[in-house]
Amino acid sequence: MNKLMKTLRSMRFGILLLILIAALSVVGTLLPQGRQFLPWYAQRYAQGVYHILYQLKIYDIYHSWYFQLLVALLCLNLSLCSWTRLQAVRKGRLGERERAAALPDREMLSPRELEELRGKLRALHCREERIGETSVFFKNGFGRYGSFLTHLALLLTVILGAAALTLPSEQELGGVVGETLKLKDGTAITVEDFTMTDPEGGLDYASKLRICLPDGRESGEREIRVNHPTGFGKYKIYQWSWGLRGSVEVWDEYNQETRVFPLEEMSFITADGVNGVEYIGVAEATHRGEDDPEGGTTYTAYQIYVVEDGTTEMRFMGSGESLEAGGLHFTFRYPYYPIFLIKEMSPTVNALLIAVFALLVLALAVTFFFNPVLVKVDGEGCAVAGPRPEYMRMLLSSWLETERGEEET
Amino acid sequence: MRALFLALIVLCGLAVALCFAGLAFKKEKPGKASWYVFLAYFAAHSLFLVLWGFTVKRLPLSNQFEFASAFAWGVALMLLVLRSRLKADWLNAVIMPAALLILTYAALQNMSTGDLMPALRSAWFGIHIGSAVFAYSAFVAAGCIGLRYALQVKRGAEEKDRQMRQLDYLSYRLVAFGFLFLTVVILSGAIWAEDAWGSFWAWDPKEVWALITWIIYAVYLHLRLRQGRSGLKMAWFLIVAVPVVLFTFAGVNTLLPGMHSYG
Repeated sequence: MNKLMKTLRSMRFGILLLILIAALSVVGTLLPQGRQFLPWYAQRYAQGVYHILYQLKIYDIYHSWYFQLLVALLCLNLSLCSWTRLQAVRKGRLGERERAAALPDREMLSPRELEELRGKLRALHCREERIGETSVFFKNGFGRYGSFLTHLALLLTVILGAAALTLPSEQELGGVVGETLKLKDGTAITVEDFTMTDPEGGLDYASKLRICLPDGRESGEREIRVNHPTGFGKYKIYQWSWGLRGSVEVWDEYNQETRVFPLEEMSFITADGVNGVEYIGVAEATHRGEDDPEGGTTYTAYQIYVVEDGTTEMRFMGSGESLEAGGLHFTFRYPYYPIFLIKEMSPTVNALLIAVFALLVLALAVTFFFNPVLVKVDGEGCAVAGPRPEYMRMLLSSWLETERGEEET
Repeated sequence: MRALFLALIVLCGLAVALCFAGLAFKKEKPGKASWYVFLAYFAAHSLFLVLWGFTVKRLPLSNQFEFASAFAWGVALMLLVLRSRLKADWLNAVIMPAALLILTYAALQNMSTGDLMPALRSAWFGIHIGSAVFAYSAFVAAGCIGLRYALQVKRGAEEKDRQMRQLDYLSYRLVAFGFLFLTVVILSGAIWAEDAWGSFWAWDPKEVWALITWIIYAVYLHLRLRQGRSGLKMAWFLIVAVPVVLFTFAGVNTLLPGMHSYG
């Protein structure tokens, strides 16, 4: 049991897990991922090989049981490492200055050098403690906790990250302006407006929405754009993409009412069953000026048939243009519509995860750039102690070399 | 702007040529001249990035050309910082060619000045991609120092020698710096992805390769800090890790298209 625990918390085991995770990740980037690629595997590999790959879930390696097992083992390793490290740090701090003071001198220095070294250590903002005839200079004691905090933050990142990735359900929904999208739980999202800064949508696009929760709470008008989602209730709504889909506003003269119809191909809108407008699709049309019969501007237009009094005429209608047929007044609307990604979210998990990210960066900075300094100086020389003495030893030897070099010249 | 960029390559190339001429003929003057030419190159490259930023009206980091250009500038910056701390001319001979190679790669990319696509319009843009420039530059500089270390050992230098220990420590410091920035790249990218794509992590090839790079350097840091490994083996580790960094930077975009394929 002890041997197993020792293995589970060992750094070698952690490194082995990291290497295995990295190796599987490489495989995941080289082979197509997702169920939709199963035919690709079937086509490429013999039946037997395909069967093995299928069983190994190679097509979705990041969600395979063995990948998740490795991540779970890494979590276990990180927790044990963090605990062990914390214990070691706490133990190491107890009486560390006394232990440093008892160290034999590693570098013998002249009285002048000793005085200069003391001055240099003070200039580095080291604090000094006298233990008998010996001075112990120290600083950045909290730097010892950097490694523990880094491992703890990593552990929390993996756990919270897994929670954030697995908890929410998501769906893609699109709707034309004026349309209300209904979610399973009764939440209604009304598309109030959609604009694009250029017809190709390459620059930017934004939607205005109104969200109504099943309990009757309303969000008011919310604008969303790429990188700027909105959250209301348990949902977070992202401006995901956009599509081409016609819609028309129809004013019925007879009933004195206006309605908006999202258009499906070949749909026929009529009041009397004979006269009206048949929608074919949205197409690119070119508007040519009188003096420029070859050039002109291309725009997206509605391709329709106007059916009236037994005649059928094909026409292209631009966004905002109107016509009258069979007692109905048609105004063609902006033919683009927004597509949203709607996710159930857990604001607490998200906020915690971001806090843990900040902790991880901070902990790494502490680990690397706040080296604990512990230098013993007595009447004859000095010694560098502490958990990571390399930095101070390097500084000391470089200073001594300059100092003694200058002396020689 | 293209002419100015080509002038940068010429300046950097001249600095490299002078540096190697100094080494080959064991003369001091070409080496010194090389350093001054390199300083001129760095100043011109900084100016180029500012001018390019003004031309495109955004941070010049959005496509492969712009990133490669900034990456070369980052490597040059690493050399300047190292030289300010260490009086070692040999640094020029290992880091300058790296900057020149990346600059040449940038010249082969499409120098488009198009508008930023919606997904890239975020406050995280500068933090995420800017950190990547520093992280990759530090890793490449560490790899160059690793190369120097390996060459020195081959020439018979003692690994216990103070200068060799200094080299080893310097490469560790660079990795630590790069690792911190790579962590910022991954984490800021995750927060940004949550805003733009609705998920902190999507197993996109670029994300995965950034993670692989992170794991490789995490292994290095563990070996160095916890097991106290240093010397030639660790120098080789750094040399071998550089192609992974370069693959994450250029290879993924070329060979493994995904959500990070912005041109």
